[in-house]
Amino acid sequence: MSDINWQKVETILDKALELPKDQRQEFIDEECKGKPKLKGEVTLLLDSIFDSEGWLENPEEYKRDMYDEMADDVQLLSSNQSLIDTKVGSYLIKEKIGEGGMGSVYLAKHSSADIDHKVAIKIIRSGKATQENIKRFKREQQILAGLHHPGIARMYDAGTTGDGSPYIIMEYVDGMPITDYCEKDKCTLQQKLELFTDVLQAVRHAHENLVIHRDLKPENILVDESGNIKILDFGISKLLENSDDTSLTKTGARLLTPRYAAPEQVRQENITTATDLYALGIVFYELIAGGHPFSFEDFSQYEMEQAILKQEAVKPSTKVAGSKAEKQLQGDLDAIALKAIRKESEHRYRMANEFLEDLKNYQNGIPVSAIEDSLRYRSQKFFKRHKQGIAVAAGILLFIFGLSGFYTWQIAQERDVAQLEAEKAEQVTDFLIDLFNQSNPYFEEIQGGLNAKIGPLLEYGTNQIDKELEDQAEVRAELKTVVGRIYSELGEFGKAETLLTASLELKKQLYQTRKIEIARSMSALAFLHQEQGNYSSAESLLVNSIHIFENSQNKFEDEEYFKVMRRFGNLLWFNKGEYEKADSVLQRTLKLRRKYSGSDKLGIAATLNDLATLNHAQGKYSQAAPFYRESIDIYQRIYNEHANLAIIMSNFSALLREKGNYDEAEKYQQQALEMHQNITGEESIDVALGLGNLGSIALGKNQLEKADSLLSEAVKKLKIIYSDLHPYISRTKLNIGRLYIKQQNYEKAESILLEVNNEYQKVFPPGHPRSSDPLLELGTLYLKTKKYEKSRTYLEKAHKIRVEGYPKESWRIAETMNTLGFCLSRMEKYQEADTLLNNSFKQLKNARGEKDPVTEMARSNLIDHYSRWGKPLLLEKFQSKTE
Amino acid sequence: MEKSGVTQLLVRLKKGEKGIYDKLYPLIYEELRGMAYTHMRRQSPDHTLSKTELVHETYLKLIDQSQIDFTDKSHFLAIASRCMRQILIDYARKKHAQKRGGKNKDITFIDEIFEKQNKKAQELLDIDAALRELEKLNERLSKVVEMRFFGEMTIEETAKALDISESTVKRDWMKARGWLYKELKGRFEIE
Repeated sequence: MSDINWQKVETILDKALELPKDQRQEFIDEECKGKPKLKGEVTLLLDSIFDSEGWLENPEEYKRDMYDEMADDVQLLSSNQSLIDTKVGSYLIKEKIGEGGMGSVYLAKHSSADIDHKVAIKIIRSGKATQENIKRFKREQQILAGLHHPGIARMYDAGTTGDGSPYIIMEYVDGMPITDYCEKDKCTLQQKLELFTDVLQAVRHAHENLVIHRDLKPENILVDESGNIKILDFGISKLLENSDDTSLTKTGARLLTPRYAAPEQVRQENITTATDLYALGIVFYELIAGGHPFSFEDFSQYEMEQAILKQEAVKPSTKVAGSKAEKQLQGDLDAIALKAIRKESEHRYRMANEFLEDLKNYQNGIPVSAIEDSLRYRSQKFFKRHKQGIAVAAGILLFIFGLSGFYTWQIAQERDVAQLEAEKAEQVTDFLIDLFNQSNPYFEEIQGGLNAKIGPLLEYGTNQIDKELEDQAEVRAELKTVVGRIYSELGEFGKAETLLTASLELKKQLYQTRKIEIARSMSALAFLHQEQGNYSSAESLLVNSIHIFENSQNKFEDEEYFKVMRRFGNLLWFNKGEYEKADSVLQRTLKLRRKYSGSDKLGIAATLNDLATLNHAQGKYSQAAPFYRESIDIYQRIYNEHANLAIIMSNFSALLREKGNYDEAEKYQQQALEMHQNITGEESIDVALGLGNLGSIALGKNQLEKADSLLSEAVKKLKIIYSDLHPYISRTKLNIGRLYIKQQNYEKAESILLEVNNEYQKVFPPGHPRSSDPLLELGTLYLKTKKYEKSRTYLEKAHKIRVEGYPKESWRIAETMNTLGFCLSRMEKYQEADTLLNNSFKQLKNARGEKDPVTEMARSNLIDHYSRWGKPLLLEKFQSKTE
Repeated sequence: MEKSGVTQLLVRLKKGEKGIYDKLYPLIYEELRGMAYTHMRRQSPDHTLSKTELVHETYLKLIDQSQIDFTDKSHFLAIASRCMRQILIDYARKKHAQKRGGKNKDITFIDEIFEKQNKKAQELLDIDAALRELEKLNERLSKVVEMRFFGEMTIEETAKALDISESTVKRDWMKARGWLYKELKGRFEIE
């Protein structure tokens, strides 16, 4: 700016502003010829003038708040002492024990002399007690009063005083902040962990009751004289929120001293349970490292926020370097603390349970999840820097996880090779860590190079494999697979292929007597090709792999054989749409499994589930059902509860629901839900989805109120788990839209369906068959409201997507076709409608059978059509069938 | 100070007498500040601001209108606008410093809900700082903002006070607003 003459800018701007809009740019171009800086400044300013239209026109908004506060100051001065000895509820205020920005806290005693009960009363100074607010206040207060946990200070009552100030009566806690307590009592690490575990348990309880604290800090986490923890102010921030200020509801206001604020709070984004866990993470860090992860001393607001958003915290052990504690913190505790305060909420502990689990594992000497994540996290960071991104990292990690599963299995199965395999697994992992480590001597060079993204790193890796592992051919073979995998993720299929083939060749030399190893490698390669969408080559690799297995002696005792068969079967239908072939492969697998691996009942159950979903996906309900039933049966004989069992049961429930068999569907879903609740607790995705499924069933049963509350509950839970858009949330909202249609609440239906439709377009790729669902519902809605033109537009869109996305004979295509036909019939385009209605009816009969809710609907649509068209004979034909 | 006293000062200011501005300014400032503190005291939970803006109210209170013409009024309002800016900024600064320096007391989320004025306070401080920059480029632009925004003066009043045409005021306002917007964009949300 300094090198630009402001007067010149203004002169040009003045002239430009007097010209008609469309001539301005030309004028500026002319005036600033050869002076790009000047032109830039003028253009920017001109844009800003139009962007800022209306801004600053409302100064009273700025002033009002300031005046309010000035007035408060005056009021506060005059009324400071006056509340002592006044009665609030049935309590008498005794003394002031605290003062905050929001108001004051008083110690109060029960007003009748014979009840000795002390409470703390918070009187909110500047709350606005509108009718609406008081109602909300009451509602929230009921939820909070329901929080019963020894680690959470109780809320007894809340209301508004005579002069309209909201107040809250709470349990009186005489204690000191957890950090001060630990310092004063010189707590050992063990004691700190125990205290913190109590804190986490209390927070878990609140989260399970869908209450988020949002303001956790040591001052709110007290320890009393007997060493019990007590968390204050749970949910208060929500309680006090201004309902008419939506920006607050959504995001929480900007923070002033954000020592415990999570990045999403600084960015004013959605607050979830992970936000609380971040604050706890900071407290945890302070407890074990004796200081805050970021040194905020002398930081401005802006700098603090930037630190929260961008600065990586150092390991707690580094903070205490040189002291005795350093060794204790290294490794697990470092990893746990850092995981808890990750910038991205999805990389943090999302639920208190996960945090607790890791602490427990640490105390029992079991590996903690944070360590594993730390590798994942580091490699992700690396790839993020190199732009190629998450996909690559995710791919590698998937692969490592795949490997470790593979090895775990082998260790369990074959004791004699276990040692070798474990060594391989370890070296693979070490190699990768090394590759991603910044201390790698090549790292600088890699980062410095212009076009160097990840290529040189991998090339370096490839060379190292041959150089350093010359005498370890088996490990070499494994590593080539790993790096080959990375290349394929980078889209360098040629290099990937080279390495993977080399690996396969190596194995062919190495394992002449144990061809099975080769088969396994092929299967891994096939998985790769499947992921790349190269289905036919994946298929042929799997076929070859199966051949080797077929020729080996103990194939039927080898679990991998069945795994390859399963993969093959699922590839056939899932990726290639070859349902019949898939059916025969999976049927064969099932037969062999029944015959040879009779003791491995769970393997049989898994194959049964494959067959069930295969048939379910094709709408072959009568074939799918027995598979589901048997699979469930097997699981139930082995487990009372199992996550897989619950999933199979809810799949089956979905089938029953689609068939209109709501009572049985409800029974299965209810059981599945209870199982999930017992396994994961209330705050899990499966529980939320289970509630949503029950909601859809209630919807089918026309129990609209029940459906309403279940679906809303599901959405609420899902929103706590996922802070952003998510298909699960949108899908549940779609059902709420269906509910509104049933309630004939068309206005609400329209608004939610339009919203859902928008979301679907964001959460599904273009052309994804699911994206037709909200379109179909919108079409149906407009049919009901007799807006036929609009209806037709949506239905045609939906139908087109389905025709392109589903197999030809799918009933889903018939479904949209039928609704579209109905719409055209109402528009009196009878000929056109007739074809659509008849064809779709036939297709539905074939796919879903005669006795089926959707087929029935199609029939009644035909009847409606012929009676409007005035074709009594045809009408009779369909009516008679109904009887 | 008597009503007539202030009116007299204003008349003397018009005549170009030296040192009058420095006498007038603190008088208006004190009056305005007192009004802000007392007048706004909450009477009921749903209280709203009185319709008359404080700067104008001060004028009504301090000036005997029979002795004054429209140009004089505009001059008065211009001074009052400056006072207003000063009052608000002083207050915001004090408030801000309190939060910042308050000895290791964490004012976090909950407190903030009830003190969103602090956000506005920060915004005002930002606007004020940017205005001082703008003043270096073109003092008149900054004055127009002071009068229009802090003093809520009409276009006509602003034109009179600055002795420029109304269309110039309009254009100055646009330019100043655009410039401030450009400088402050991203600093806080602008509706």
